[in-house]
Amino acid sequence: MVKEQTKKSPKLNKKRRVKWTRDDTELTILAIPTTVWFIVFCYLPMFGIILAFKNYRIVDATKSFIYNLFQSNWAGFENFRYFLSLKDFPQIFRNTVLYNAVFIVLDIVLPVSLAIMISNIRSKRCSKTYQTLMFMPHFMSWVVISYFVYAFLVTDKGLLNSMIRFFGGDPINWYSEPKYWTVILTLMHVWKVLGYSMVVYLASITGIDTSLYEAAVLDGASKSQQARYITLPSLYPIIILMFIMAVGKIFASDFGLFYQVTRGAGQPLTPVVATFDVKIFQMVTTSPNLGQNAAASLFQSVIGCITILGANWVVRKVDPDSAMI
Amino acid sequence: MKKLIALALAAVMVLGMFAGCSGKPAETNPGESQSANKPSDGANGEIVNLKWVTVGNGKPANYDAWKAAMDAYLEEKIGVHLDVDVISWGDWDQRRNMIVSTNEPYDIMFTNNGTYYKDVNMGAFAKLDDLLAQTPALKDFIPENHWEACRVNGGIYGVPSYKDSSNTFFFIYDQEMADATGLDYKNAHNLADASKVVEAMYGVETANHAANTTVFYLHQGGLDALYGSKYDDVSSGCPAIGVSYKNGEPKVVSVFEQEDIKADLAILQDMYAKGYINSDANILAEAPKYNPFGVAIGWPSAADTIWGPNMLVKDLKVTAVQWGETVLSNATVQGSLNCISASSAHPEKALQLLELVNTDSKVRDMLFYGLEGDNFEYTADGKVHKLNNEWSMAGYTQGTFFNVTTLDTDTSNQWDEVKAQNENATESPILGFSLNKEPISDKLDAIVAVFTEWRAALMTGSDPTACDKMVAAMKDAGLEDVITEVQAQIDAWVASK
Amino acid sequence: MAEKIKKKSKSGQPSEAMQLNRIKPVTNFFFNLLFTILALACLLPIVFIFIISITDENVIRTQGYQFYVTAKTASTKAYEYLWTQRQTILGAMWVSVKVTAIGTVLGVILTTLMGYVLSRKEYRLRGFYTMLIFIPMIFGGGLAASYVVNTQILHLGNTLAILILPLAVSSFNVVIARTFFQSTIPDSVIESAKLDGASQWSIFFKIVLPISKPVLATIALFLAFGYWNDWYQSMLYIKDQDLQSLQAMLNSMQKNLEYLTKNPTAGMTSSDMIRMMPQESVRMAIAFVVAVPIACVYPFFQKYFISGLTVGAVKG
Repeated sequence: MVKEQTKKSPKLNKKRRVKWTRDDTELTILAIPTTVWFIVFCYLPMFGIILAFKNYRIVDATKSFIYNLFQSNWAGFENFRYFLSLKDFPQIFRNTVLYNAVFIVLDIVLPVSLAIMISNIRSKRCSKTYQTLMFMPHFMSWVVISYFVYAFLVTDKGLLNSMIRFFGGDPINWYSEPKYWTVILTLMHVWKVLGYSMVVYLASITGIDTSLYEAAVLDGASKSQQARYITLPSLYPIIILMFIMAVGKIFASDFGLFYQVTRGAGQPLTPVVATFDVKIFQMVTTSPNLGQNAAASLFQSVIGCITILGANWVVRKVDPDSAMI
Repeated sequence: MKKLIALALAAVMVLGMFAGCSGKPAETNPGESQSANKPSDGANGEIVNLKWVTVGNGKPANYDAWKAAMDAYLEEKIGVHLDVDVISWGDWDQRRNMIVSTNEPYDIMFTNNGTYYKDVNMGAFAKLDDLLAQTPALKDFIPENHWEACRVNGGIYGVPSYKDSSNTFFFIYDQEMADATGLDYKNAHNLADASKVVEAMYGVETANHAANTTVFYLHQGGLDALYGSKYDDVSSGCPAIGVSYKNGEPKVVSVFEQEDIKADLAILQDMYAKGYINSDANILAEAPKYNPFGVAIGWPSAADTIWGPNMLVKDLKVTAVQWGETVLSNATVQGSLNCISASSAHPEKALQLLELVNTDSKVRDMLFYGLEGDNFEYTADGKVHKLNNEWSMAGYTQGTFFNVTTLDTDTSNQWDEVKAQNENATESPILGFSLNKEPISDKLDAIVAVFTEWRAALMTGSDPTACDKMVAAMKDAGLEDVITEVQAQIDAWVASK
Repeated sequence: MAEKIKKKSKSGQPSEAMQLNRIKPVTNFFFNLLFTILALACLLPIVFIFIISITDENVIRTQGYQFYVTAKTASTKAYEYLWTQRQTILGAMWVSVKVTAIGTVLGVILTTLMGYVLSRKEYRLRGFYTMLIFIPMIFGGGLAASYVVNTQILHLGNTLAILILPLAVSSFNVVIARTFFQSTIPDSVIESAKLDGASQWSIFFKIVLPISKPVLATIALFLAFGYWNDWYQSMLYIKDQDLQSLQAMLNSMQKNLEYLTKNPTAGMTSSDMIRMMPQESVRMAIAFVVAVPIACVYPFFQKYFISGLTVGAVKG
């Protein structure tokens, strides 16, 4: 399933052995603490996936959850059927995937360009200040941000409507007009993650060997040529990595963004804000059913797994070294 | 592929390892009762430890001192030591859900109509019918129809808190403003009349209200009294279906297609359009504390004891005028219930404790007011004087109000008022009927989801088209089928009586 | 040793060329302009929160949120209230600090260890471990199962550990670390260290870590944010007030109020509690107080992101 990429380093290729070496032992020991963590906090709870196929009941109250889980009746795919047969499922599916597609593109293009720009700004002091400030949105929870958006958009007292009135326009009832929200939500998303992603790419840019640039300068390369032929290629691994991981979340949506920023207004905004995690939240709050919730997240996971493996497969075809697995 | 298998094997091995260890817990948190699953024989005069999980404002600061006092008293009375887990309001829903479904050890659990049926059906709670024979004082103290209201599939699984178990809705006016209108607001007992008062109040200018500004602040929950006072939702959790309280006929209808509801919705939309209701009602999570006009559930003297003070405006006088009739249904009784875990080793002791809470004023006061001498003290004439407001347990979750010692600041006993309301309440025609959701659960869930989507737009009056669109979506999701099924179950229930 | 490696890997002689290799003043100006605008757009909300926190409660009620505050509408009441609650707030802040500090250190160690192991192409079990960290990225056992494991098997309920351990590692961070090690640490460095007889243990701690400050800072930053802003663990597992973090406190204030507003039965008889609950401006004040410490720590992390370029160009 997983092939080791050794083509590019013939030196290593020669050493490719069948035997277990001291190196392997040492690396295995180094990996132990993290492995234990993964087993305890990720793999141990995996039995919960069974919930998705069970009609969970407390069969014998004196026994543990796990006992009851296994003793409960099998539900087959009943739990999945519930939300897959929902009337608004196609809408949810479309919204989630489309928003994510837009976000994936913007989350790569904008932060990468900005990271390259900011790394070129002459004054390091200014650069640091910008970075700090642009990180601010990341400090704040969506709840707090929702207050801020509200203060901007609220019909009577909102800043935006005051401005519209000032210029003689008619105030807009923002929270009842679905057509604006695709833009507002995209804007808010970009605003929130921009500073954060920029730092990820910037950290990679700082890792680039400076001698490459020196050589390029000696060859007479311009700034934009350097960005195109040195910086960008050096960023490919991390860009592809971020891309693959984002693709894996194609069927997950940021609950805070879609629910809290719209202040849970529901209809008539639903057609543009209904996304998967919002739906799961509603399922949890209106009829908390462990099986259905587990089924919904398992469905999300399976889709994510398929897309991530697909993306990885494509990447592997194009550039084997950048593939994640 | 081999690697996957190896991984799976490793995981299984480690799982086995942990499962092996789990028999002997590594450590037990101090103060946490592990008793619930550890049988120790209470009958032999040994002290039984009980754990009560409830909602409130978090663990009280003086919990340990309080527990010592409580344990001393309970030990002498019924041979019980009590641990109370007070979970914060905001954490409650999720935490409670986890504790109940993962079968975490507890003896008594507070619950209410939102989750009662679901948890009983999951098998979480003990059936109390037989046990109640051993606690006649408790059985007799709570009226028979209240017990009936807690029946699920023929059995009683919870002890209702006998308090404001019926619902009465009130219009609440800032008295100064209402008086200024010159209208006879004290006799406005329906929304149409009250809206005229609101209209007149809109232009009134006082220190607290600028003329021509919002009079009626709603948050996105909206004016749920609009249907709550007229229809029993058959404990379906879905206000779109209901049985009218009015004519005593057990007939299920589509609530939002009824003329009386539509008329009230039209009034609401009118108030919104004219600006009496705040324009951001559909997106407001909480309304401001001061309201010139409002609607709430309660009892008449709450105007002076609760609603007035809650507005946090100095010397404000508010008047409450009843809207519609007092109603009693499964849901109103189940506003506060205490259930006993199916895994409790001492269900009889737990029930004894609940009996004591409902019949012994001293225990009741300690739960309601806190630690004597620290949070409150008894006055010479046998009333309670509160020393501070720091006690964080929520009185309504524990038991009846009627044996709570009244405060020295109360001029009249407001609990008598509540009791009278309960006794004169209009009973729902289907009191005691428990709906079996199994055959319609998917459709019902879908309809509830539609309602949740539309609720803010509909119940705040902000979208005049909401009602029709919502009903259409509900019909699409199977509203008719649900009504037919519920009606069939009710008919069968009526026939069996 | 670290210095030596750095010289090797960056071949960092101060160079005339690099001094000249700067963007044009005009471009520089436009870049600065762009970033100034972006930075201001990002700064606005925190200023806004601060303004609300010093606005009089009555003004908020009658006029809504304002973007400016005048002497007339200002009020320090929210901060006065916080001052009366300083013991609780400082206690909660201390919990936040403890959790963030311990968690970040622990998380960075666990993450980079695994990241390094995965970056070694010749490691026999590399494929196995890649799967090990990849699967949890997609599949999870869900809330109920984690809850059972944490409370009934590990017995971590209501402890400081439950706030720290489950958030210490994420597959995402491990992969970031792996990619960084893979792309920036030359194999030759490790090969030569091995020829000198160094063990993987000492290669990792004495050679790799010292030259990997940017990625350490990035991961530490992510973790620190995660810990500082987390309230979910607290909501599920913490009972005692003295184990509650600042963010958890803020969150529960918010949610308590919403719960009571939406449950008339609860709200009715708990009106004393409602009256005592902090108002809008107080909540904004806490949101501000929560954001400030972590914002102050940020430049400290940031130093390392930029260090790479400047080290190569200036120090050599």
